[in-house]
Amino acid sequence: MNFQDIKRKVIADLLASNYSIEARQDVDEKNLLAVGKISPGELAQILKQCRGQEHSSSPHHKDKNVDMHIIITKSWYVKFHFYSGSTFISVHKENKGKVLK
Amino acid sequence: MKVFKADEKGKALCHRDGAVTTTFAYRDVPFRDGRGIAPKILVGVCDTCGDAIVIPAQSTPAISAARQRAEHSVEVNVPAFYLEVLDAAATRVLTGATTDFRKPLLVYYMDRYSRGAEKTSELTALHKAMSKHVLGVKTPNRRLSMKFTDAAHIRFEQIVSETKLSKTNLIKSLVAKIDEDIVKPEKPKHFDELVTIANVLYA
Repeated sequence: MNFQDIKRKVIADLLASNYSIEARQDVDEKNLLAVGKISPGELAQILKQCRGQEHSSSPHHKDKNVDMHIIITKSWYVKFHFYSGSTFISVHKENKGKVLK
Repeated sequence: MKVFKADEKGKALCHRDGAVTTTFAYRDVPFRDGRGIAPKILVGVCDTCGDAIVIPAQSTPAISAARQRAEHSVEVNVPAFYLEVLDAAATRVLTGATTDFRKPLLVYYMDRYSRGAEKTSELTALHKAMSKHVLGVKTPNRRLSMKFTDAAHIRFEQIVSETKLSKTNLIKSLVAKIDEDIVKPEKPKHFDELVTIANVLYA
């Protein structure tokens, strides 16, 4: 998938609420989508304006066949992967290259 | 939107086990910082290790509500002088102190008052004395915003109710106490305890 396809898919999944949050036994309260401090609609608007140079991807550390996508745009740090027909996504604020976790 | 139900099966990448099947179930899920839990939310549980690994979109409103219950915001507008006193106290306790130490200082004194180590009856007088001191001094107002856990917020409300002071005046009274105990004396009171707290917080 090229960047435009990736962007289209993540935005469509957000707008359809076809997304999930990854957990590790607990809820990361700094994942702003998990705690409702940003809505999927607001996030979709932010992603609509992002550009290809703000996107990077690497293999997921638990499954090399799955791409982990990172978009850093306007102080937002958005990390997601597509799996089993859904988008798994986290959203953090980023400050001067440091993700606020 | 796909709405999940309990006992439904799914697939996800587990942080321990990689590609796994999941089963949706209601669980109490804690927040990572230890401040509260999201009770009985529907999550995808890893069939291999049993960890909650998937939070579906439908569970986020319940998580958001649980988080709001766990975080109580206290916001007050006070003359900048009060914050300067807090910062002055912080510099007496901590090398390289920052404004982050304002809340621990106030919480330390809230704790002392709520467990009876200090008398709440003195707070109104302390507030009056310091207000008189600030009266007529041209100082801008500053906002002090703090997030309290349930437990800390209960202590705060307890002192508000005992003293009948407003939240703003209670904060001012606590600052006046900190001024008396830490800023003014040659040797600050509770110095060792506060240094330990600072060292733990900023380790």
